[in-house]
Amino acid sequence: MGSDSNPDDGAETIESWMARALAAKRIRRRELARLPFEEKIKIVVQLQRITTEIRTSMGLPARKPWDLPDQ
Amino acid sequence: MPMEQTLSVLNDLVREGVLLKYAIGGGIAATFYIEPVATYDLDVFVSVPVLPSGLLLLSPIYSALKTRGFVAEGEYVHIFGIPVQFLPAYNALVEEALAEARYIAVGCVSTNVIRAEHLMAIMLETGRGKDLARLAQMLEESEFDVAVLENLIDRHGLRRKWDGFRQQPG
Repeated sequence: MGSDSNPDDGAETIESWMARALAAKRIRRRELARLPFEEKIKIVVQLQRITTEIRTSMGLPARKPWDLPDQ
Repeated sequence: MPMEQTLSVLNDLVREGVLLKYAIGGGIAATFYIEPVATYDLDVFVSVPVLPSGLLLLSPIYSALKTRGFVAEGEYVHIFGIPVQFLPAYNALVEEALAEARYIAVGCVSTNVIRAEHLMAIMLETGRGKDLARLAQMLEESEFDVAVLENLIDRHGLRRKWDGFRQQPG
């Protein structure tokens, strides 16, 4: 083929990939935990909206997201 | 911040003596310590007057809110777009959590939030699936004093629950 590249280059095991993915999630959660409370509340409202949209689209009962101005 | 309006109303109730004290608990209190959690309720632990008969008197809270135009719907009162559930301090652990709640500023408004260690002990005590999931998150993500938590666990008879929780995989 005339190429020195190894097709396994960049490949990794499922275990190492999972470990890296989970470590990244842990870091992300800790970053989110350090956000100012005000920023967290904005995310809570976004989560409510997402949850309500999903449940509504599935025909499930859904609660109304917080009706806060500026959100 | 819009939530300030809701908290201001709660502070007014304290100033007027309708509430002796209040503190934010539940998912929003957890959100103070860990990543934001999906919750629709603002749980507010309250200390309210107790009648000589031993019964709690919650009706003045609802009356005071009604005069401001906030009407109860089931267990909740919608205060400026947020459904607030008032939960009387129902045992010694929650009474202590309320008494020792930490004072924080949210924007221009001050409020009280249950301390991390008390919140964790309450999660352990209530023991619902979502409480234990949040407890696991609190252990991983929040800054808390292990000695304080251990002390709470012992004083409030939660040692067996704690040991059981710690033995769970994951």
